[in-house]
Amino acid sequence: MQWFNERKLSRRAFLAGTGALGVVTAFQLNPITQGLVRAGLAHAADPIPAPGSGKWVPTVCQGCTTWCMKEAYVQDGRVFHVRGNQHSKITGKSGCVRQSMALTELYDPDRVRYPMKRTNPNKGRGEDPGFVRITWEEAMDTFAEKLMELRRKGEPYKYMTTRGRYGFMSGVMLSNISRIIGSPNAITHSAICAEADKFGPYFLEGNFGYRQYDIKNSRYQLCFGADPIAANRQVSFATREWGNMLEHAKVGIVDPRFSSSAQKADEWLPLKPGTDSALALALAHVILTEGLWHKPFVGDFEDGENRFVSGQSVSEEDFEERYTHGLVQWWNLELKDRTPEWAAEITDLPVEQIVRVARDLGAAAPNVGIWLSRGMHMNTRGAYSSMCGHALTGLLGAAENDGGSMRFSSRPTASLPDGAAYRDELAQAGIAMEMIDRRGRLEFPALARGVSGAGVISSQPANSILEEDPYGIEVLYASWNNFVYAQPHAQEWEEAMKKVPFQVHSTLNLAEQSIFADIILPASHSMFERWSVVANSGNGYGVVGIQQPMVKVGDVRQDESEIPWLLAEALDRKGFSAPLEYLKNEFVDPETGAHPTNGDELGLIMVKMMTKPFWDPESDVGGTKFNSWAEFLEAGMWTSDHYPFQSRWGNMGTKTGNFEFYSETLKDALQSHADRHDTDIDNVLATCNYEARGELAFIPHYESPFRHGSEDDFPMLFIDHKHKLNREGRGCNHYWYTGERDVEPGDLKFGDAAKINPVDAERLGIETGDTVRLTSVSGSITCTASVWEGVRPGCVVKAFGMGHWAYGRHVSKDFGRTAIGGNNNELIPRDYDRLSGSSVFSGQIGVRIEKA
Amino acid sequence: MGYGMVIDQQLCVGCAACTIACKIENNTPVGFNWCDKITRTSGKFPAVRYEYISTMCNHCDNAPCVAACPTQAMYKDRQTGLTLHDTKKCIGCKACIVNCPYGVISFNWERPHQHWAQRDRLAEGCFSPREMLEESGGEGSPHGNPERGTTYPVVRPAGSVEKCTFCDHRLVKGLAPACVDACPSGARQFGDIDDPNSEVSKLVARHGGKGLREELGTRPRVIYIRDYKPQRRFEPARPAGENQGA
Amino acid sequence: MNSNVSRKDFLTPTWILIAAGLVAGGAVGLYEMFFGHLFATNSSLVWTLPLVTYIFLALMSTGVSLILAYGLIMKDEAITRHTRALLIMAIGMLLGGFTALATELGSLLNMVWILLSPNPSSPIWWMGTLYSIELVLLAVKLVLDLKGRHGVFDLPLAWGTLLIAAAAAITIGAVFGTVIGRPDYHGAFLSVITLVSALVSGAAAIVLLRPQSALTETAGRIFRQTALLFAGLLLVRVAYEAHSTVVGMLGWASIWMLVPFILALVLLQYAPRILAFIGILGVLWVQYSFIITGQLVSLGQTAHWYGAVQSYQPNIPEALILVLGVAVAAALIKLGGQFLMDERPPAT
Repeated sequence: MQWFNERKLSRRAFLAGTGALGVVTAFQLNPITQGLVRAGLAHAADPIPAPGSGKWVPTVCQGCTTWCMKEAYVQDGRVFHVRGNQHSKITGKSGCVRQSMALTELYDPDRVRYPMKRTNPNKGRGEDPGFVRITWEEAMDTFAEKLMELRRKGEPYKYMTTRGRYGFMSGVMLSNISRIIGSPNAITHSAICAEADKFGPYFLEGNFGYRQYDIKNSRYQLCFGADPIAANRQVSFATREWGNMLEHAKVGIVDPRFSSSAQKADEWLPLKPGTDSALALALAHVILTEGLWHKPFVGDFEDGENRFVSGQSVSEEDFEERYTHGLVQWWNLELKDRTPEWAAEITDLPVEQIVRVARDLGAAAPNVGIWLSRGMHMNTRGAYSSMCGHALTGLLGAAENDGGSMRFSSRPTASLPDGAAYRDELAQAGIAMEMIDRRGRLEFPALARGVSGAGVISSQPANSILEEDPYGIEVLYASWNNFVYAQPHAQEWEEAMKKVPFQVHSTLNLAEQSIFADIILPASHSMFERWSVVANSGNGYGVVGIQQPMVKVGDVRQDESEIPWLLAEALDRKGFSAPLEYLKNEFVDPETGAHPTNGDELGLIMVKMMTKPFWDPESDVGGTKFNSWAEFLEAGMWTSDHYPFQSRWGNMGTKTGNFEFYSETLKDALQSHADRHDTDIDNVLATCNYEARGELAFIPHYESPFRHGSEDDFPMLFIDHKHKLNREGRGCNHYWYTGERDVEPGDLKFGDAAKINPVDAERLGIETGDTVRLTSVSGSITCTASVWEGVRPGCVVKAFGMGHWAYGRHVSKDFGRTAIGGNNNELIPRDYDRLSGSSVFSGQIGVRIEKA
Repeated sequence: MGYGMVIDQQLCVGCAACTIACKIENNTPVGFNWCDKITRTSGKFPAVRYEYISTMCNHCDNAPCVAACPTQAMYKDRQTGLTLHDTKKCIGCKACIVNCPYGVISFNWERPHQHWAQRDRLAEGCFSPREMLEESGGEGSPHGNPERGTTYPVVRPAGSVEKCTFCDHRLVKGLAPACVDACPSGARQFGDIDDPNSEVSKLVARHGGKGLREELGTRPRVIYIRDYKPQRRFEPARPAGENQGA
Repeated sequence: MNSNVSRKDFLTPTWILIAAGLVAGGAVGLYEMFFGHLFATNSSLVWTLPLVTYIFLALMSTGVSLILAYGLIMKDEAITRHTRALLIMAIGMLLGGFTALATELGSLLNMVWILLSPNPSSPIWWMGTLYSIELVLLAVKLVLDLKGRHGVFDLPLAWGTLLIAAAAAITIGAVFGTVIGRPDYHGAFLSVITLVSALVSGAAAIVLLRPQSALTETAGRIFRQTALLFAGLLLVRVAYEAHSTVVGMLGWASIWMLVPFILALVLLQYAPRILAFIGILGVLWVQYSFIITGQLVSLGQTAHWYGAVQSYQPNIPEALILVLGVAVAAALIKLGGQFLMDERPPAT
């Protein structure tokens, strides 16, 4: 057997090679002691290392999308602790619990160790793939051969890559090489993340991105569908500052679930799911009628007399706007009737609370954070929820302001060469094909940055594959993702994956996606085993950090550098040299001028190229000053200068340059999408399942929540939330995770809880511990009931993270077949907020709960 | 001189970073948490309250576990105020567990971490738990921290109890307990609580504070200050209408 | 010494039962001590039926020892005639109890630290010490009796065993009574309960195991009197628990616990051995109930792992430890009867 001849690089030899640290190794001990060490019966380290004698190695955490700068503590060849990077001006040494949960991934008891291939051609849940071990060479040759077959058939576009958690170098493999091969189908996960979150900020103030919230200077923090101290985004920073913030700010949490943040807030607004925009509009209504808007930003009536009176229109001429656009149009078209009484009816919140929050917001303006997240807008028609929420930021003058929210600070990494010159005619024809996610069709505007079809429709490929429209997919490379588990209506992905004849999965564990794969590649762990570059922003600073290999567990190859290199070499062996030429020619070590000769060198070169603006002494990007690559590597990160407040006022990047309550920018974007399909905007909106017609389309307005499933069949509403310990869908196969699952109140150790209010529990005769079946229009799962007061009556709340029918022994009841609990994504139907391309995860998803 | 910990409940966000850091530092097996929690949900929707209290050995001055131990395996270190345990002297009578009013001591009914010795793999190319243990080189588990071994076994033997030591092995090197370093909100402060001029003592003096079940006279060395829930809280009135359902 | 013992004496139904108990219980005990974990315990509920077995047998032994010492001091012929048999009973029961205890102590080999590193503030240390002395005293008495040496040592020895045994029984109660965080344990009451239950079960054991008219009458009288006292104590406890407002107290006493003792009180003369047996079961019930109940409320963080209040039911391995303890005691008593007694008991 070939692999026995491969001299395995021992973990410590590997470390010695990188010079990370020198330790006395277990492999120097006598065989008996070695045996004892291996059996876990004796100390591996001899002499016993003194506490604190290990080394802190910089890296970046990717357990959520915050991407905090970290340092990992390496001792005796293993990683123990992780902390915030001491140089980070966002977190300092603070880091949320997810940083530690990364170790459960690194040392997962079921981690993939070697490349494997499938021996059972039948694919599906319950089919044992019959994986057998193969060499990296065989794996990459098989992969390359399948790609060559596509090229020979003239159908290279039937190659699709899917991206989950990624570093900034992932584009080389997933997009650039795919394009050289001839496929446009680099499908990212972004639209199941939060494209709708960027929608409002983009069309109101030209920021297509997440925001940083200046909670240190905030006087009111109002969070819509966000749980900043437990889940996305900025968890580490929010956690560090939350308790201090309570000293100087009021905090309101809008969430039907009594979230971690609600537990530590002044106001909990447990509204009816999917009605956040009604609340936001009513707050705006009160802020205007009571004259509480921030006049230095918004402007005022020329005579200073407030003419905003409920139900009455205002003349545009009377109001002089400063850094905003269309306030009076917004009022006349929408806000004048959006009274607290109107909103109370819809949201089921008390009028007094709505008025009180509005007044408190006004009193705190402009030092107000309006924190939006998935619960508010990742739903059908969520684009307008996003706009309604973010409009408050403008009204209160909190946009780009002290104590408010601002766009991410600049993090000017250098871009990597895209390899356009290496695309042959076949490739160019391939990438000109329509993409598999149908972006840009009439029903999929996906208006990222205002461009029709510029956004991704992450959930759509499964449906496209099943319908073979625009075409089928024949080769799939799935990198660090598990769409069969992580996509809404996951059942559809199972069906689609059965239809994809050849699939490669680069993964830490044999996940649901792997069960359909033909080749399994052991993924390097992003934090500890590979080179990459990742950036983040918060607390007014932009940061760019590097991930670097510090340990190696298993026969892994770095997914963003070694795997593209190995694939390029394999393609080269088959007579297709363009990808390898691209890698060899275009990537040059900026220090030495050397070209890569292997994937590991490629990784380091890519990092150096991307980060050159930060460590090159000649560079003038500001922020931390480094004199050399070595100095930068030592710190592991760069920090920008502090964000300049108010610098974009009047220069917002919208069509008018101002904060657009009446979005001319959206008007243009919708018009161009309509023009592309030779229709009008009303038809676009009707096709895309929005209620707005006419000018309402361009302003933040109320769209009634779209209910999935009738009230008769599915009387309750389903609330999905991210568990505090989740590293997205990973890191669950460990007793640290399953055993501490109850750190979310209402959740159960070693189980998967559907949380319901005692009122409903009594009505339904359900008790904590009962096995229950949840059913929605999408499907049915079973899990354990937990009766908890922190759930709005009428709702079923369930944390994402369990319900893996594959992944590992701690989370699957019967690996490959049955999960412990159920996957929320099997309850969530596939639907979209089509303007942003986002998938639906919140809003009104009808569900039925019954004893199983 | 005597170490003590102050936990600022206003800063604590109930994230369990302390719990996991402790599991890393001390290689505690499944179901054993030297650092754990008490949680309370009270009230009725929508006026719900929740409180998270991070718990660990209180290193009581008047420690019932020490009094009850027949062999002085559980003992007070007079220099540091720590309540420590010597596995060599432990006969496994479990009197400390029964006597501890806080439920923070665990007993190794059998050799811990046995699930890391399982040899079956999910597939040919996957690690078995045992292979992962061998590859990592950890003792007991891949998280078997050799530094722990400087003052206490990395894997405690079957038939022995175990509990929090305030990371005594780290203290001798001038490091704070792992849970303190891991706390992202700075809620945990550690120091000489017998010295009225120490930072921890000043925090207690400023905010007032108390330990758990102080009425038992144990004189715990873990002191909680301020409240988990904000002090000025607006009671949300119940909605006026009948519209209670979702 | 009786040397006329033949192999046939071991082929009796009683010995077959004892052997079965030794094998089944012994296997469980050895497995639990050296290999794995079989008991229905966790880190919050640590003292279960195996420990109850120890307490039960040790106290029964104490009761026998106390009655014997009483007889020797009071020079009650009905008792002193049976000195050797009672010594064998007391020793057998105590060793049976120690056997059960050994299966549930985590690290038997570390017992040496009881001597090397004593902790006089620990009730368990006192309990271990007192029972060790008790065992030595009983052994000395047995040896002296076997050698026929009676004389000046008898009375001091009798007083010594009386005091040590009484102290040991009281100390067992203190193991629980000094626990501050568990309301069902805390207080002096359990020391009274353990002392009186020792007398009740010891007297009942004598009635059950040594049916002999004069002894049965004397032991039966003690049994009735202590059963009355015990029933009274239980009644007090039932009343107390009914009115208790102590947070975290579940209450271990039940009015039904009085039944076996009142029955014995009234009906003993009609079926002494049956009622003695029922009395012994009643004592076991009481001891089991207070030992288990005291641990059912999860303290602090353990509530997250085991629920606020646990429920406990012994599993089969634990029941087999009870069988083991009783079988060891029975085997020793039988062996003593067969090898050390001059009068041969009839084969049963």
